[in-house]
Amino acid sequence: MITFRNIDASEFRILRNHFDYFGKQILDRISKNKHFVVGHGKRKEIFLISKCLYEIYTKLKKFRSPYYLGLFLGTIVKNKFIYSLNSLQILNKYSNKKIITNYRGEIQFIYGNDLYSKHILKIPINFKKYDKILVVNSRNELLGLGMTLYPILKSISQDDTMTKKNDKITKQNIKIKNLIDIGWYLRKGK
Amino acid sequence: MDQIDKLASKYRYPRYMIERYLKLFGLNETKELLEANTKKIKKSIRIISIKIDPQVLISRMEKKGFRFSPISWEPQGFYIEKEPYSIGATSEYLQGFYFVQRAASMLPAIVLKPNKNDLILDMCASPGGKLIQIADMINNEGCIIGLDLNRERIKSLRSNISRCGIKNTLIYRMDAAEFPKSGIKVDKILLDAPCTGEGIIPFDESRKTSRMYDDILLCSQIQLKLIKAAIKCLKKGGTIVYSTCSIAPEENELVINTVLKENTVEIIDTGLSIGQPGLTEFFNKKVNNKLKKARRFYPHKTNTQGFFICKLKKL
Repeated sequence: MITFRNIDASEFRILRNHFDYFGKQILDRISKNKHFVVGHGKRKEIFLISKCLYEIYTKLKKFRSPYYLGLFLGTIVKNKFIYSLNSLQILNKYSNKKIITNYRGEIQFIYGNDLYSKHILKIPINFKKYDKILVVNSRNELLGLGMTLYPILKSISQDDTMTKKNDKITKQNIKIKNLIDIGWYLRKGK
Repeated sequence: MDQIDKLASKYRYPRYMIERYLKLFGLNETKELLEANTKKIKKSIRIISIKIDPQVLISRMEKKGFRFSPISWEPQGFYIEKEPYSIGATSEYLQGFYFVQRAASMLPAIVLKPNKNDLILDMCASPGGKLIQIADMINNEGCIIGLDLNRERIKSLRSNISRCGIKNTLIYRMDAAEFPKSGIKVDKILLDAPCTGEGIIPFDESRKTSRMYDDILLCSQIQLKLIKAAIKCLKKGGTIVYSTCSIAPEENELVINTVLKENTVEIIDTGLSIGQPGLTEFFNKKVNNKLKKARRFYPHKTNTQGFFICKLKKL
């Protein structure tokens, strides 16, 4: 049985920490005039909904619990937040904690595989070991979320073109573990 | 062997279906329909404009070897002329840039004319093509309530909504016939009712034999229950778009005719210039003459799946 309610302070803190990791104030920007709702069952699913949806949801609450509402941000399991693909899409608009892959890397990643240096076009900032990073294609479209298994150094200057082969990338030991990718929609989402 | 048996044997239909087609359309048109049902109807996609500009996506997909042609009634709809690999397995599909949706299935949302200030109810929402189309048409604003009872189908609805970045929906897993108990009154309702699927034979040949006449009667009872529920939760002056992918009059004109007798709704024009008028006489029955305002679609006439659309306004 899943019950729906407003988010509590500890859940909001977890959510904020995880959004702040990708950039301060992203959560404030996206949640202006909106409500956070939690579907509490075996796990806690966090949804962000507009004022208009919230009014209808409130009216219907006594009648029936919803199955899905607004935008699904992710799940809290044992005080850990698992980003949804929708929340990663949002974070991609605001954050530069990302790595840009070539076409080969894009295909690899959306098939659920990890990425290596040969798949990387651009690394905009330095990353530490075990950092979570957004993985995007050359059009800046989100492919998913990865985790660095080694530290990675920023590898290309702002002026360089993304298609240029960059020695700093190929010489680095890069492995990005696939945590979630948009291929999920085909593998599990159908 | 009589004409019915000959056609049933040639096209591999149960006898009762041929008998019905002959009564509805006469010999020549029945042959045209049966022949058209043997031909594949083009697959199509609808591009989600809140995610990408349709022309940008078309040119991207053409670089990958896909070819498209426009669907005349939907600017964001395109027939797939060439599909080098599955259209449902591209990275653009995973990005939520389009929904694989049959051309005729794009019509109910167009007829509904959604507005962001409307409270909209989609009574049988899975797998989400029409709901996503409505959400896209109102720019992901406003509020759409989507209902579906089936546990598996609602999972795919959720996945499709998420993939296409839709954020203006409330989804409930429930029998839509129970919705009036909520007390909520809505402005617009889309009821794409569960049906025998007689119109989708060009896509699924197994439909010829998978349903019997009793199924038509069973479906029409469910459809009647659902449309009565829809009328109950509609605001005065609000509109319902009723559609099925069946060409059986029992699932279409007869259902509408029954609710018209209660004088709570009237038929209004769909605004569509395509399709055939609804039937007013069939199987020795006469129904409300205004059913001409409904639209029917056939593989041999509109080169689409068999489909029915009717628009009603609450009095």
